[in-house]
Amino acid sequence: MRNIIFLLLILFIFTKMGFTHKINNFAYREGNQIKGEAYFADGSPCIKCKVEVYNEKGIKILETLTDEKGKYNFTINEKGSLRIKVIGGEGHLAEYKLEGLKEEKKEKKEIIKPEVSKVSQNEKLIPTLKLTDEEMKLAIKETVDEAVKEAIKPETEGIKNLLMEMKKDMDKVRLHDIIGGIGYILGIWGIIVILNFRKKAKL
Amino acid sequence: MHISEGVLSPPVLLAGGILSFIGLVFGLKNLKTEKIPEIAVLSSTFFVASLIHIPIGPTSAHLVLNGIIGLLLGWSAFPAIFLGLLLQALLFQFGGFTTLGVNTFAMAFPPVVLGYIFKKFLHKNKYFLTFSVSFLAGFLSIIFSAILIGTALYFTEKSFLPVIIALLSAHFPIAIIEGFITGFVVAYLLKVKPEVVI
Repeated sequence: MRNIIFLLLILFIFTKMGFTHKINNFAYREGNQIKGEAYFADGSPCIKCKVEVYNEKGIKILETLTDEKGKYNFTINEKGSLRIKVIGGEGHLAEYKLEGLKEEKKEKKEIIKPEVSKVSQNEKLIPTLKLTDEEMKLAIKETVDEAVKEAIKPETEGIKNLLMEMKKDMDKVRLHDIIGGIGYILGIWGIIVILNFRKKAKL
Repeated sequence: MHISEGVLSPPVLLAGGILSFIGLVFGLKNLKTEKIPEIAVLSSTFFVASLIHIPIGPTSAHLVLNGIIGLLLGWSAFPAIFLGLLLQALLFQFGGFTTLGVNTFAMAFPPVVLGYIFKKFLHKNKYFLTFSVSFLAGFLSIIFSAILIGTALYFTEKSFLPVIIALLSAHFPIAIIEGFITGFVVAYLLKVKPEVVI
């Protein structure tokens, strides 16, 4: 008995060195592009794994492979939610649900090109923009949106990387989980012992 | 050797669940109160063993140690392994709840059968025989478990041989390592504490 406990302790020390084959999968949108990463529980990348993308109706719309760093990206026009499956073979699979974008009511009105109208009074050609207020607002909004996106890109990139690192860290097997698990196992068997003794006492 | 959620089709899951349930009932029926502390320790050993990852070649596999459990516990290996898998699914998301039945059966059934066959050959005074028999039990448990997992995957992946070959080649080194571990541990236990083994 003591030897089994000893063995268990040795195994315990080893656990810091390696982990199993569970795959983690994480993806985010960047405009029409979807970027993602698949990695094993110890943080090592899932190299050349098959990636399958399903739309809301469950129809497979895309298939690709991860690269050497376990990353994948693809462009897609689908605005709805997506399910991204990474298949590691040997029965390993990780699924990530990417929320759909909110349907923006973007009836893109073609911005009317400035029409050149003749002003008779001065007999000169003065270009005037014939834009209604609404069209003006839309045009401004678009320009500002683009500029803001461009301006915050370095920062968002950094935050995304940080999030990814944090997620990887969270997915790692933690020592307290291992200890907790052993505690649960011993506790459950302890309960079984109690129940068994009760049964015997009744007989 | 954990099959994840969403890989297998419902009939396979159901079949695995039923077979494991039968094994569990058998295991709990034959439970001896004196054996329970041992079962608990081996159950936690199994739980931790799966975290030990041995990188060999392009792939890496983890220890399972089901051979030892089968040899020492017999039918009680079912509840021991089931509990280990349940907590792995719960705490680490290894495997999954729906695949619990299939995984339990694939990992518990071969060692139980092998343990039943090989236990007769264990002898306190014959170290070499005990060692080799235990080695075989540990080795074959992994091989047969890999074959069972491959069979379960066959129903969804539809390519039997490539999957089996991939699984076996990944687990062959592990099987040898486990054979040695099983051999040493069982032979040693038989020498110093024979009542644990028999």
